Amino acid sequence: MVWQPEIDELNERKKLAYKLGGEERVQKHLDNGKLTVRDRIVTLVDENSFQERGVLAGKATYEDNELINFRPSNYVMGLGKIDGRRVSIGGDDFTVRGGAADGAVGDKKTHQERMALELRIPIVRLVDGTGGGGSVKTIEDIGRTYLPGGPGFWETANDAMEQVPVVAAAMGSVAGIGAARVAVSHFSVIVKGTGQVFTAGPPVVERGLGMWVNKEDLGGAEIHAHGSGVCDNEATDELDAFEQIRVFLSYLPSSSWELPPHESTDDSPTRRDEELLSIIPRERRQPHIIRKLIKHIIDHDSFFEIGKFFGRSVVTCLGRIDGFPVAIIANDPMAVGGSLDTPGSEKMLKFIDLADTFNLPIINLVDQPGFMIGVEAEKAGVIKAGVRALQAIYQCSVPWATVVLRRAYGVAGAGHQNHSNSRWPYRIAWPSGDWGSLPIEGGVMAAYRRDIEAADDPESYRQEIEDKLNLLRSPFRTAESFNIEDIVDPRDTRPLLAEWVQDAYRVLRSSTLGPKGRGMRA
Amino acid sequence: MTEVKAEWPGVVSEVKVSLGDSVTEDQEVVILESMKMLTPILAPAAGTVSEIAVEQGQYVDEGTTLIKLD
Repeated sequence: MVWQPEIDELNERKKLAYKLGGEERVQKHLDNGKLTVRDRIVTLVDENSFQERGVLAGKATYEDNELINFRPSNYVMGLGKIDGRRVSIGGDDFTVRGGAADGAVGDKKTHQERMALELRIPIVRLVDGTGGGGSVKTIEDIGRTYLPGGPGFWETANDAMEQVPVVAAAMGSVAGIGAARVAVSHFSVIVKGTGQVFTAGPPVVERGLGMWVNKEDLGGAEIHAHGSGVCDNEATDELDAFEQIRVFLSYLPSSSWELPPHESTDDSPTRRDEELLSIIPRERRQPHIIRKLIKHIIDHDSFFEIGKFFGRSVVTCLGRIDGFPVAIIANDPMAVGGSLDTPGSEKMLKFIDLADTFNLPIINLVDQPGFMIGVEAEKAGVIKAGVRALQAIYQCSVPWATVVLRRAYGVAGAGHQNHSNSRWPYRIAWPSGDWGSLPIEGGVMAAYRRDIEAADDPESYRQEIEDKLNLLRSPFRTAESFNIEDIVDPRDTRPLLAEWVQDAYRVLRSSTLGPKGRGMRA
Repeated sequence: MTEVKAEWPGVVSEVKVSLGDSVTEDQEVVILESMKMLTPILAPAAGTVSEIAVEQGQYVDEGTTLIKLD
């Protein structure tokens, strides 16, 4: 009992910290449909697994050496477990100075990230705060202005991106460095209605641009999960955001030095779904439903899509085959005809880097008509964004499998895998395979213009050439010359990929893992 | 009022609704041929067709209003 008085004081101080910004501010926070920061953390992690660090940090006021007031630091963090695996987790306390950095005590945020890097575990950021400098009130407090720097955050952010999974949730109005903490991540989710992300909020926008806009229209889920691509996914509420974070992490290793965790499944690796035989319409211009197709191939209930509403012509999702996590890229003919446009290229690049960083084998389901064409696509810089995506393909070193479902045209179509002699991507095609540098329909006019224009009946002559070339379009002719290695029954796709994924993991198990050296930009 | 817009450029292949029709959310209202693919354009919300702004065979830019719903 020697130290009992100190233990009593410790417990008393913890109680003060648990009061957050005080009853009134906490109630207001709850009334806005938000959980308090500790409740968020304990709800997200496994029961009783949260081990807080730095609970005693705060701004204390003393009178005659008696603690009379305590304002806890507005960043709460520590270690926890998700599905039994360690994570570092932290969140802003909006009830203390709006979660702004001027309410922080010590650099708990950087501490959390360093801890994650040292322990090689994921970083979970529950962001509900504003800028690094907090507010201009700081100027009054310190009696001067200051040159912005933010060394703590950037010291760890780049290392984290190539070493451990970084997930972020935007759970309130998030501006400045808070917005950066959401964006510099492998996976980000924004809570619909209560989460907004912006470089600066409405008052700053009004003063700087003379434009009044409310925070939801400025940086809500509609802006960032449906257009800008700043946030990968939107969540219907905070609990949904936590569930998405849990599911995302379930496919990833704890760090780039490890392999993604295998999960047992009762779905047979040799399952052959009849639907796959008819899923691609014979009429070339009729689209198919790509998400349905993917679900026929991967394990039941293992489909997790990232960035559904951004760059919609490309579908990027995580899934499992025979219990092994894989990263799947597919083209969606329902959006922009499935062509590779600027947002689609950006999404693809980040996803390939994610898979390569965390040792996830990649499956590319190809139905690629080519880069998007037209004035708007050129203005958006499609070829620049596109070649960056192709560079990512040639840079990545994880096992790669290509299934050509249908079209593979042009430079974008050629980029369905790394064709270097140093690689051997596993490649198969379906009988619906249709490929070339240029599509016959448009290509005929480009290649035979002079002959066509000189013909007595140009239109029927053009048709004649097209018909002649179409007879040569059968993918079996391509297979005769071994230009496509194999054409398979679509129903065999899952059994074949299930065997390939075993090989892929065997290769990864015997490889030297760890950061790839190219780094990873958000 | 909801405007159904072309999300990418293309040629209107088919207008699948008529003036006064009531449509449900995600119903196919126009088929746009783009990159040689017949892509359905869906109603973002339920409503009654109050205006059809395009006709079959017409080229439309990205962002063009195709149909208005009340």
